[in-house]
Amino acid sequence: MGKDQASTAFSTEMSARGETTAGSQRADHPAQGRGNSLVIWVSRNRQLAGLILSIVVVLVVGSVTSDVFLTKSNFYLVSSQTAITALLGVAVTIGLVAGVIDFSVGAIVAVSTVIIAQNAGESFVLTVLLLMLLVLIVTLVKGVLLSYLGLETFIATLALSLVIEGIAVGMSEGQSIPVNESTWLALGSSDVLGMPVAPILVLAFAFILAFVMRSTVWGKALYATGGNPIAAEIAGIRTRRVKTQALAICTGLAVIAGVLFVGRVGSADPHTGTQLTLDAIVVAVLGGASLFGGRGRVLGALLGAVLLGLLFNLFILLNMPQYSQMIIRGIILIAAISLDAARRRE
Amino acid sequence: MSPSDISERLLTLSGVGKNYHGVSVLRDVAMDVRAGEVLGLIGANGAGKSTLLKILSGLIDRDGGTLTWGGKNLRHGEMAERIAIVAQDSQLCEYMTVSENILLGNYPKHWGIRLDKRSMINRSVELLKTLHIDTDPASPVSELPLTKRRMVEISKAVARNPGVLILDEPTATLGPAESADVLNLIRRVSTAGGAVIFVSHRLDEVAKVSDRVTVLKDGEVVGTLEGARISETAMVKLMSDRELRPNRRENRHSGEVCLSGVELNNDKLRDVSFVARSGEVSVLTGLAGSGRSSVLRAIFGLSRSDGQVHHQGRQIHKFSPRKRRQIGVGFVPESRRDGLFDNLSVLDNLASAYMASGKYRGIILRRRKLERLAKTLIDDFGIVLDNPNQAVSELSGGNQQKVMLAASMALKPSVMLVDEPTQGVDVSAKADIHELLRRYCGDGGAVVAVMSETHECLSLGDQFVVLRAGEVTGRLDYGDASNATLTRLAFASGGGGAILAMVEDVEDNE
Repeated sequence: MGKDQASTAFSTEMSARGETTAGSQRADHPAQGRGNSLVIWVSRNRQLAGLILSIVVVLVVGSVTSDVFLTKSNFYLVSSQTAITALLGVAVTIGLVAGVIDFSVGAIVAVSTVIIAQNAGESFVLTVLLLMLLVLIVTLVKGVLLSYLGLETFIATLALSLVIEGIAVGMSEGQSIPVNESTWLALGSSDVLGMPVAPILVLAFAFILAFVMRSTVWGKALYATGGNPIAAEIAGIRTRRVKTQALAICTGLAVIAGVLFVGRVGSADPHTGTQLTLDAIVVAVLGGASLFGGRGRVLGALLGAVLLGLLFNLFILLNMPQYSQMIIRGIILIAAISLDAARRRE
Repeated sequence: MSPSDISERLLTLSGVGKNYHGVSVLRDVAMDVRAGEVLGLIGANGAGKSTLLKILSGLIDRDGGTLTWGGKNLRHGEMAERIAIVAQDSQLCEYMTVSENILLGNYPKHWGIRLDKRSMINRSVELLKTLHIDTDPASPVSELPLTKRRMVEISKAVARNPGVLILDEPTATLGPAESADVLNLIRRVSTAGGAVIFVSHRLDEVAKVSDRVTVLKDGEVVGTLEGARISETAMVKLMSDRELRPNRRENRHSGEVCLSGVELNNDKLRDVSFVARSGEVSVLTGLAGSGRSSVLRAIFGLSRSDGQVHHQGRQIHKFSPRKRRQIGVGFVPESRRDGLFDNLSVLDNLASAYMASGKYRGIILRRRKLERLAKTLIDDFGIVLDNPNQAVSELSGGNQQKVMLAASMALKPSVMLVDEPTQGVDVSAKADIHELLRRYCGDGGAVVAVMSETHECLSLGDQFVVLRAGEVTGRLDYGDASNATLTRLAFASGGGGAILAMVEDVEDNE
């Protein structure tokens, strides 16, 4: 395969082109057999294919090395953990596609959990309203930082995450607060059709967002803005508005992740932010989102989250120490961004 | 300058050539640089100046020919030490001091470790004094005015003690009074023993400071003027020797004024006015950096300007680019990097302006509709591709250019602003694009095209506006335009009177 072809074979580029590619591809080559279409899919979606292969490898290694890895209770555990990183990974992906990076998603999760823990006992409606208010305020602040002050989102959201996490710690006096209201815990404990509800909810969100990204005018504007802001402006796209909207979605998804977090853990944790943000970025980049903007897809983020979730679950089952997990997380992130940089150079 | 000084040849070029992808940019260039002289080097856009400078500074290799230094072959490794170049854009470290900049990469040290600050200051003071530059070596560069920065930049190159110093447009950003200081500095550098190659579009300055002037045209040296033969008139004549006139157009039907700019002013433009009529190609031309693209950007609302822009009788000066698109102003930027989405397919690129401008009704994409639009555009514009879903980056330059044009024209604009629409495309694509723009005019559209190459301007344009340093130096109808008049106006110095005098002067000599 020539260099030009190889570069276009990347999943992320295909994703940006959306559904029509697959459709017309089939229409153009009706005579081609099944095996061939698999080859085409793999060559055009190398990132996804790589992720799926890695997941299979982890599954095989896990089933050999650990007795509990493939059990139902472990599946429950992994899927409810993964649901949160997957949702945040999707959020970061949407931002990256528009050319903005949101480092504040973890902190928003943290402050949401504290808001839930402190208000759920009083009133369900009040808690929901407060969470909506949170989305509004944070989005407004991000919008001002991005559009009016023209700041780089990288540093601006990093700084914002300090502010938000500080507020969460202040509200909770640094303590984790237990949540006892069954309404909020139900998301973590109940089943639908034998499946835990959190991952199903995340899948539903992912499905909708994937549709928005590839089949709506706004989705195209998102890819255009991140891919080439100057050309987007010239084409008539209101790029700052699109970027702010992407950040609004990030914020909303982070608050929903906070709700899932409370359901899973059963308490608020004001210190959970940094770890979640980093995992979300790892997941997004593993899933093919580019730090340079314009590339990334929802399915990639989901698969990235599954890979990461299974891998770290296996590490725990194998009794690997906490520090080695940190080191491996870091190495994975470096590997993922190197891939991104290499792709850009092609 | 005494004859003995002139006779010593430092650098000699002979038979130097360069091809890019089979296109010859330089052919058989022969010139020499003599000790103690200032050699002017001039040429219009695309004459091959920058390629020649890149070869001399060792950035690219020549395809043939020899470079000799004092009669001996100049090896590639020696070039950096013999020849220094001061680029057009600043290469100074803003927040370091003058002396730190001047001696950059060559700092005196104690024991090889600790900076010898006193010796740094002494050495720079000495150098600045020799060159008569009145600047405190300890002040940060960021605090200096533009002229002083230029001079520091030149002293930095002089500090390396090169045999030949190349100055690429050293006065481009300076006013006349400030330029004079830099020109004096150039004289002093050359009399200190080194030779200077002075590259400039300002023919009056070249005439003032040069001992000899070498003129490049279409990749060849067309002549070297010496001593009393140096004059602006002679230079213009060398740059445009063959007489070219626009093609006669039988079916020209210019209509109403479609778009006009009135007294546009900003940091790059001064009182630029023009009109574009339906059915006509209005060409904005001039040298690179003369403000041609800035005019288009101001008309499209991408950069701020004072003045007025009217479109079909409506004042649109306050409109955003998006709004201007919606009311029928199309824009294709100079660089494909600014106009194409490399991360998107050809189809998405073709539909981008249509979707973005709000003309597409609805939220969800109707693939069929977009595919039909793309197919129509692909057929109309003759875009060659495998599949509308392939990445736009896979297309050839010419086809990418057509994609940009098509995307803009999908909105059926009444006026198209196109910046260098044929830059970097092959001959047949160029002809196609000309044909497309002509056809658009034939259908009643107005085109405002920024173009560099005189031949191209003449083959496409119906009327011409020539800019120099952000000002309009001339307006020509196609009957009056020729390559000589366009070149004269592009290089013209001084006000309108001076230009007229110059034009008459050239005609008298002919």
